[in-house]
Formats: sequence, structure tokens, C-alpha cells
Amino acid sequence: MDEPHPPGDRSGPDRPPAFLGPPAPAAPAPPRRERSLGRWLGSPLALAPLLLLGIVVAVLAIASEGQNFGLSFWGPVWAFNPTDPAGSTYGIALFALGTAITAGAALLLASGLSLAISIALTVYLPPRTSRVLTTLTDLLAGIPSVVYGIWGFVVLAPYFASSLEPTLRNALGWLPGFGGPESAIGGGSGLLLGIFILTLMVIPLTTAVMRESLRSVPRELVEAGLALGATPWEVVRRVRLRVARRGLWGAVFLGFGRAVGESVALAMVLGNTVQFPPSLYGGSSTIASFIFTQLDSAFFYPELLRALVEFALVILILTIAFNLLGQRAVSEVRPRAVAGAGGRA
Amino acid sequence: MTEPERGGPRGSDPILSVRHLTVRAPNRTILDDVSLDFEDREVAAIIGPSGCGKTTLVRALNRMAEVAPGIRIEGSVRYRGEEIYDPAVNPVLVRQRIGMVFQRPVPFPMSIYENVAFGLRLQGIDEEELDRTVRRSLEQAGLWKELDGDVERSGLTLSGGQQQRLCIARALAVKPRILLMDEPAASLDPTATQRIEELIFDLRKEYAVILVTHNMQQAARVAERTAFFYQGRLIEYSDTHQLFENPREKLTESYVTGRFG
Repeated sequence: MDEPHPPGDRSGPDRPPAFLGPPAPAAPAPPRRERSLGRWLGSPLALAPLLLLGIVVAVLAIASEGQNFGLSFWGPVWAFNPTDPAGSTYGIALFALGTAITAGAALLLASGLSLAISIALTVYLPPRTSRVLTTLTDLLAGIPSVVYGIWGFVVLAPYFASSLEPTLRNALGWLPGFGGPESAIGGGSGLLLGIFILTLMVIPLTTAVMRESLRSVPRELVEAGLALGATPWEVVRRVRLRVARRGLWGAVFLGFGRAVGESVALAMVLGNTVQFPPSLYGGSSTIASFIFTQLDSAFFYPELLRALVEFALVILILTIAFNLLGQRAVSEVRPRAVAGAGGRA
Repeated sequence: MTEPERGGPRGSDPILSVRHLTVRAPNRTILDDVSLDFEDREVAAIIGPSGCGKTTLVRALNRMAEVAPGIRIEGSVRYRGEEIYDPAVNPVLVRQRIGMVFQRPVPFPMSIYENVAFGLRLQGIDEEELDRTVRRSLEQAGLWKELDGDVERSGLTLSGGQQQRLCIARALAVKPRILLMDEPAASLDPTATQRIEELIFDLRKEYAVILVTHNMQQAARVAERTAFFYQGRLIEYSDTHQLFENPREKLTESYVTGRFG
């Protein structure tokens, strides 16, 4: 066997000798007493939210008594169109479809718009204008969802019914979802309006997260791009978006978590029909909005109540999953005030 | 092609000629009426105490100064006789001719290859040419051998000194004529600094190098000419040797002898 290397001798000509490195930091001061006390207290406190979450899940699971969930989605009683609203034939598929369509389409629209807005705010607009608009978009996050809902129902629905939807039907009727007979257009409530309202409600959150992700791109990288002869737009495309990629995806996930849980505003503009939506002009229900609209009648039908509790459990798990995904992605973004990004259910 | 004759009369054909350059920030003047010439295939050092405007000067030479908000620039900078501040001139083209290396090594979070190819891809250069230029630039920066051909790993996996040489390779790939270097070794250890200095020494064969440094020994080691700045003004600009050994101005003398800094 070869002679072992002396432990200090790491060969390599251009490795600087250890004594040239930065001076070793002074030995850390022993932690002060209150700090360790804080840590001792802190760890169980940090577990509290987890515990709380566990309790909520357990209560929901018990309250649902394992009633339908396993059966209604996958099992033989799975029913796409429940015939007996009070019975135990509720499948979640129809509502999951409503949630997927509204949240998916809203996120698609909101992501694109938010990206455009945040690029404009961080790159192109003068600082003062950018500050004012930032405040404005953050303020939008604070508008209660009931307000969005009533505005959609009172102001937008008639407009959708009388002009926007007929126009869309004429122009894009060949696209699946946009066509259908004239009678498909009702009073304006429906998927299209729901998607529109949901998009508006998600934009402040996705914009805030995207904006901060883009702002956290180091200035040096931007300047390095410019110094190599890139135009500002090329720097956006090839440097800023690339460096901020994780944060941008985080915004989409967080926005999705928010959209999945939205109930009140959607219940007000979605038409609340329990059917396979024939087109974007037709009514629909999401998991969350269905819980909201059925709650009072559910008290008379224990099976329905249990089914709704299970629905709630599904939403809870979905939102937690998407928020975790989003937060993991955003965690690399330099922490800076993301005002108004809290969002409400 | 013949090499332009060296040692001829100075200032006959400067590659970069600065006249009455004044740079203002919203509440102060950073550079005040600066005029000087830079020769091709020479290293010129810019020295002076912190805040004397040396960084602003090099940033004004490739129109990077205007990237910061609120900066106003007056005067003239001519690259081979052409005014770079002419409204008709596209700053993008100026920056392709006059490259820049920054104080902190800032590779893009991409592979080494993509880092070097960044500027070339902007110009739509074809893959074959791209491969050649990337390799040549890495060779010029003394990185190619060290990497052992592994250019697909992330640029961020390199050591600090290697990252800075990657940034130099990235700047060289665009084929500039002038390389502006803003304290390129400020964040590096002595060994890495020495490698950068050797590299700068080599680069003069093909480029004009303008080097900002707070390290007077560095200026003395690598630069033919040195300019001393103080409070936004050019105090003295002459042969490095003369500036350090026999300065004309009292202020220069007290700075190079370490009486303030």
C-alpha cells in the first residue's frame, strides 16, 4: 500500500496555503441565557401550528365518519351526476372538475398578467410610478371576496350576458367550450364570469410574489448582462426570468392554493349548478363553493353534511400542498415585505 | 496585418479619448471635467481613494453609468474617433466593443459554457463558431486546462478566482477591443489575485485594458500608465513609473506614499 498522505497536504498547486485564508473567526461567545430559554420554549411553540393542523384534520376526518370519500370518487357509488341530493351518492368528481377549470384557467390568466405587470414594475417603469402601482396592486389584495362577488353578480353578469358572451360565441365558437347553442348563454353567471373574478382575486398575490422574485435578482447579474451587449429585454428574458424562475413558480403555486380555496365570490357568480358544464357560459360548482351553498340544507341531511366535511378535508389538503410547494419555491427569494400577500379563504 | 508601432508619440491615435467628462448624481458631482486618452494594447490603471469617481469613470466609458437612475452625463467619449454618447449610437453596440468585468465575480446561474456563450447567443452566432469561441475565450482566461473540458457544470461551482476568470472569458467572447475592469481582484485571495494580474498582463497583447484598483502595488505591477483621481477630478496621468517614483503633483505624492487613502 502507498504511504498515506500527511493529512495537511492537499496537493494542488493553486490551492492557497491555509495561512493566506481569511482569519479564523473568534470563538463564538457562549449563548446567553435568555436565548437558550427562548429556544427551549420556541420548539414546542413552533410545533403548535402543526398540532393545530393535526387536530383540524382529525376533527374533519372523524366528522365525515369515512362516509363517502373513499367510495364516492373511486368506488361503485361514484356518481358524476348525483340524482339524489340528500342521499349518499355524492361524488366529488363534478366539483373537482369545477375547481380545476376555474382555478386552472384563472391561474393561467393571472400568471401571464402578473408576469407582465411585475416585469413592467421592476424593469420598465420609473421608480416613482412603480411605487404607486405597487401600493395599488397590494391594496387589491385587501378587498374582501364578497365585494368581488357582488360586483361580479350585479355589474359584470349583465354585461357578460348581453355583450361579451355573445361576442365570444360568434368569434371563438369553433373552440371547444366557447360554442354551443344560443340558449347556452344565460344570465351571465357561469364559468366565464367565475374565471374572470377569480383571476382578479388571485392577481394581487401572484403579482406580489413575482414582483419580489424579480426584484431580488442581483443587480450585478443584470449589469453583467447589459455589459455583454444585451438589451434590457434580453436581460429580462435571459437573466431575470431565469434567475427568478423558482420564485415565479412559487407565485403560481401560492396563487393556485388561494384559488382552490375561494368560495364566497365564486358561489355568487358561478351559477351553482350541479352538472357537467356544457360550455364556459354554463353554470358550475367548485368544491369550496358547493360547501358554502349547501351548508344550510346540510343540517337536515347528515349524509350531505358528512360529504361536505370531506370536501373541506380535500380542500384543506390541496391548499396545504400547494402552499407548501409555493413556499418552498419562494423561500430562496430574499425576504422582503410582500405586503398583502396573505390572502384570505 | 502589421502590429501598430509601439513607443511612438503618445496620443497620436488613442483608442478611447475622454474630453470634459462630467457625471452628476442627483445631489453631487461624481466626476468633474475629466479629460484623458487611452492607448490600444496598453494597460492603464485608475487609482485613488474610495469615492474619487474611478468606478464611475469606467462605467461612463461603456455607457453603463446611465443604467443607474438619476445619473447625468456631459462631455465626450470617443472610441476610435466615434462619439459613444451620440444620440444615434446604440449603447448595446458600445458595450459589445467595450467589455466590462465587475468587482465581484458574478457568473450567471448557468453552465460554464452558457456563461461564456451568453453574449454570443445574443448576436445569433451559429453553434460551430460558438464552440470555437467559447473554447478560445476559456483558453485566453486560463480556465480551459483547469476545467479539463468539463464546461457543462454550473459556473457557480468554481472557486472565486475561477469565477472571476470565467467572467473575463465571458467578456472576451464578445470580442471587445477594450476591457474595463473594476477592481477585478478585490474579493480574491492573493493567489487568485496573482493569476488575474498575470492574465491582465497577457491581455494587453490584444486589448486595451483599463483597470480600476485601490491597490497601488497592483497598478505598479501591471499598468503602463496610471491615472490618479481625487474627489472626482483627474489629478495626474502619466507613465506608471513616473507617477509612483516622481509625481508632479503634491496630492499624488502624498497618496502614493500612503499619507492618506
